[in-house]
Amino acid sequence: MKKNFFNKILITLLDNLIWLIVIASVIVFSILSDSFFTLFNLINIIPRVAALGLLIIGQSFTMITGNFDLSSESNVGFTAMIAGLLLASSENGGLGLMWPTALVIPIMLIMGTLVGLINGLLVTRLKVNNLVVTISMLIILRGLVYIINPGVSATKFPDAYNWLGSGTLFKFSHNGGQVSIPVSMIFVLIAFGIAFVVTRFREFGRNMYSVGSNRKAAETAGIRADRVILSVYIISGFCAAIAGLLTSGRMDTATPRTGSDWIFQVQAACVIGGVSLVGGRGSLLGALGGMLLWGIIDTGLNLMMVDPLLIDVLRGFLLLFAILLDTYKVRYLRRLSVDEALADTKIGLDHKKLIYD
Amino acid sequence: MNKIKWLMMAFVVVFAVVVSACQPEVVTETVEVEKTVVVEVEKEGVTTVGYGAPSLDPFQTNVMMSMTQYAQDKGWQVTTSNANFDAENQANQVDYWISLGVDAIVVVPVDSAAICASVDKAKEAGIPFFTIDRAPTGCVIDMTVQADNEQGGKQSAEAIVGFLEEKYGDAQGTVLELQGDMGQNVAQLRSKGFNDVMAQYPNVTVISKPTEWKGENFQQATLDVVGSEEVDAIYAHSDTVGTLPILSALEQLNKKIPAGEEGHIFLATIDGSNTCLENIRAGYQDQCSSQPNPDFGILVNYIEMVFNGETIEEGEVVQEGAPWSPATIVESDTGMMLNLATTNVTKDNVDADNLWGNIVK
Repeated sequence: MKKNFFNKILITLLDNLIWLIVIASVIVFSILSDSFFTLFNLINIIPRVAALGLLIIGQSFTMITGNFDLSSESNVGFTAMIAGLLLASSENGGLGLMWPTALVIPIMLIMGTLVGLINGLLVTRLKVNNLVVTISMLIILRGLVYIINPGVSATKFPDAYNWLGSGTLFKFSHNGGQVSIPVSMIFVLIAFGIAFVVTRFREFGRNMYSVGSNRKAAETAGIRADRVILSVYIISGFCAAIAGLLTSGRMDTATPRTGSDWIFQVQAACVIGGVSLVGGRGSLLGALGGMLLWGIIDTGLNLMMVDPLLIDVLRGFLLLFAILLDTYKVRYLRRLSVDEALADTKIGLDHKKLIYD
Repeated sequence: MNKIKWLMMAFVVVFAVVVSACQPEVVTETVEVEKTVVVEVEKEGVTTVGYGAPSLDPFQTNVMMSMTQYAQDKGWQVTTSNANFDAENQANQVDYWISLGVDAIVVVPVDSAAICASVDKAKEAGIPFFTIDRAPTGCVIDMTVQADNEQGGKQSAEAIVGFLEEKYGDAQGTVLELQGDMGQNVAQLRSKGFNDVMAQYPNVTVISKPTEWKGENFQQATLDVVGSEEVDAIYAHSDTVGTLPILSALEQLNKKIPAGEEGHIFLATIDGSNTCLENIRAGYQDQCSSQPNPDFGILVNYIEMVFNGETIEEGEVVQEGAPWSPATIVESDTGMMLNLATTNVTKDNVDADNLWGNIVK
């Protein structure tokens, strides 16, 4: 009994390890830097990684089903550039059309979703390897961005378009100054909330996990795996378009490089948050933790004035540490379940052998 | 497998200790922490400047060293960062400096338009904003310091005219102009300074080709034009990327001939990188207009003026013996603009210590 109790606590701890690390890192940085635990700084951590967060949601969906969408960073740049071209005047790098925001946002969301649909169709219908499909799309979309707007940035968008990325929900007085709550912070938390509910409590979410952990078994059980995979790619494309809206709104600019080099940060945050690389495991809450940790570490190290090149090294080690922990966790959980299964039997099998064979 | 159990237990214990030791402080004294920072900075009087490099190639490293050096000479502290070509990174870094409460922000913008969102935030926080090498587009800042690119173009043009006059008795012949990215004001100014001089010599034909600052385009344009026409001189907007591809193209055409010999093609460029200086020594290049980046840090004098509430005024700045002198200050629609003079480098002064190409190798 006692051992069981201890094991249960340990499992809960392991499952929520990312949150312990998040809290620990907040405490550590608060001690090390006077500027970290201030309201201004804490509020601004999430908006900085908000666009990344949307990609993390999309990536978690595809990863849970055992797939990847490496094209999402280019999709961010692509949708942002389309919006920029349609919104900005010709002297600000746009086409001079200056279409209304209410028209442009649906267009960019549709374009992003279409990219996801194409990815999904290639993966499910033509049975092309998902890594190759999405890497090709990564290159194609980035090239397209340069073609439709070679080397120039589109800027000066209407306030309505920038609202999601840089708008203020409300302000309150604190300590003699004004503190604003950014729209993007609330938005990204709501988005993670919705994604969590979908994956945890809806049938579609359960199907995602089944397809990811054992596709054959899922298909035998009557789940249409292809349809599930197509859907997650569409969701990922849609999320990328929203990320494009968030980042271009925050910067008030769409540059040809918008979103470049994000995809490995997205992957890293997912893995650190406990989303499995081989599919079938991971929760959106964990992924949210991964996003927060990524933002906290970047902010904390920068505030401590650590050499920018060293920050990358430290992030690399963090990722390695997360993978190691995950590997241990999987082995430990497997041992527990074997233990449990053997506890009531008297077969006398050497369970250690079972695990390591 | 007990290892993991012990690891976890150790983690929990350490975590519990850390939490119990630090939590009260952290939670209850939030407000005080924020106040202390402000007081400390004022008490110690250490001025802190946030410096943001767009990337760290030799050129940008030299600019950063200059800024750091000048600021340290004033007893200031500089916190540096590298955006690594990413405008979003740069925006985050400006955020951090606002959190840190720096006294001034100096960046080399990754993207002239994207930097404006950060400029607005810094303004809201009351922090003066400066840029080096590139001006923002679409917002007003306190000052930009840059090389006088138009003057650099003029210096190269005059060197070419001198060569043609020596060769033919008066200025005539054909000159190939290899342009940078003409969407940027840097390339526009380098072209304007050059063509303003050339316009005075109607017997000189100028053939202009865009390169987008890409080495392969410098090479291709040289092959195309020099291969089909009798070209006397080449003027390139950048030697950092241009000199080597141009010389390799000339070699393919059997026209890489050192200065002084029959058939030498005169090569004048802007930047003044080590590549240019080495080839001037070797005789394959004749002139470059060297950028004054070891002195971009001169900006600190104007940052200090802003701190003291003084206004920066238009006019000429002269300092005896300084390579960047005479500089001009003009007011533009993005704020004050400090244009530092470029240095005309030929084989007579190629070994001067104050050329950045001799500092950064």
